[in-house]
Amino acid sequence: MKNELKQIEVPGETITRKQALQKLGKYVAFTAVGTMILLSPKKSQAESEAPRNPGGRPFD
Amino acid sequence: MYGQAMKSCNICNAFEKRLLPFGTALIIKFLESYFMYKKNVDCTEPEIVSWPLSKRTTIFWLAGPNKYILAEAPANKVMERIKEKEDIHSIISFCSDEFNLSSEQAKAFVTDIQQFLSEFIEPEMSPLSLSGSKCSIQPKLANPASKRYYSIYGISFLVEYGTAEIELLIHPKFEHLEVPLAQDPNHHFQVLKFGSKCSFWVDGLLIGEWNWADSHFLSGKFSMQILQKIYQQEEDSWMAVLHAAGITNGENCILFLGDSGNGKSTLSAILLANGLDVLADDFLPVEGGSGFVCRFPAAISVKQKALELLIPKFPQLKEAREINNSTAGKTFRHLAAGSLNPLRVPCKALVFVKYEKDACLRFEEMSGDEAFGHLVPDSWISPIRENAHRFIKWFTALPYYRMTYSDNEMMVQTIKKLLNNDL
Repeated sequence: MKNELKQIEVPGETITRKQALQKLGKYVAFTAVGTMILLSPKKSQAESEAPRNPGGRPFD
Repeated sequence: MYGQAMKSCNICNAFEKRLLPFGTALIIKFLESYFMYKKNVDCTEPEIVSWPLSKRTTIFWLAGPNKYILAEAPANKVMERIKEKEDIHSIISFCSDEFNLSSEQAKAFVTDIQQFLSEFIEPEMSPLSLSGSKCSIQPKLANPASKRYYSIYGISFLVEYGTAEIELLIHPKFEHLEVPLAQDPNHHFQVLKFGSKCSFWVDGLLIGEWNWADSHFLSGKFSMQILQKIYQQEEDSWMAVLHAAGITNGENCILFLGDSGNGKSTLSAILLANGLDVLADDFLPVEGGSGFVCRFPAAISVKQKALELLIPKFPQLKEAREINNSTAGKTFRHLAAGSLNPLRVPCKALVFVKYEKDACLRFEEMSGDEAFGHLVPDSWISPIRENAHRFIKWFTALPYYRMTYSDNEMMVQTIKKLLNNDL
């Protein structure tokens, strides 16, 4: 999930969500990707695991 | 019925390879659970519940798949109408009028949101995880690697560890609660490992089975069962279990959140050495009814890099056993120095922490959007409607802060002020 928040992969390059939204320009306000974030809680109780990708700011 | 399902279903491999060692009774139980689950998810559209988070942002909870959506304006206005099951043409017409869009633009916008929703409503199920299946095949361990007795808040446990490896995963966190022998223990836990799989049994019930690579879920379930027994509350009584550390002055508490390695445990130990008490480290339970945070008395995991700082304050760490968790890629020692009495206190604030060399101390307010975006993916949040409501209500009533620190003294003063309404 944190990966979804932080990065969007496109063929040939990896850009941040913020960069992707900038590319969409003024139309971003009327797209789901520009205005909605999906968040999935853990399916079961868990204890710490190895660090994964750091989280990002949802609407940056 | 089961034979037909076995032929047509692509989870046959899971039955054969993962469940067969446990016997036919378990496979049948699994199939019953699976078909019950499919019946539930196939026949119902998920209920959507909304809650305003800020002027521009709304939280939506999808009841079936237990997922949350943060929607900013104008998408939140569309989501509200989808939630109310308004006719699609009516929503498009609303968008066109409200946002001054052409009918094509409005249609594209609404369709985009619908598409977004449909992709994420698709349910997920882990065929490996079972819950509470009463089986007649409770394993009899002729030679468990170890048997240990624990006493927590007056409740006694006998825990049989099938292998030394699985004992090392769980026992060190509870070692300080071990007792020599308990007559007629209240509960009998079995934690087993067969090849690359591990399973957990409580009083004859299979709680779950996991791949060894997912053993952090086994540890989490073990802690959850301990929690349920010592507070005598079933899982549906709990609103959430957060990946957080909690410290308290006995009247209320502050929760520290952040990615693994950000210094939550170290910070808790420093605050413990400075007169505050630790509520929980890593596994932090929040009660459903009251919203109070409860003490969970597992030891604090002190990472290797924090030892130099903490050994002068807690000399027992010098002799503590070093645990090398190869699955998590960490080396740590356990510290059990806080109070062990049960405690339930209200939460004062959420603080997202990060240790950063030469940062001194930066303490700033954080937006609800950002805090929610960090908190939810790292937490177990009850899928029960009432608890999801309570969780959103609990979260939206709290203040959120971001603290980046390197100066421990300033950090301690700031947290004490926050606890005492003096910030």
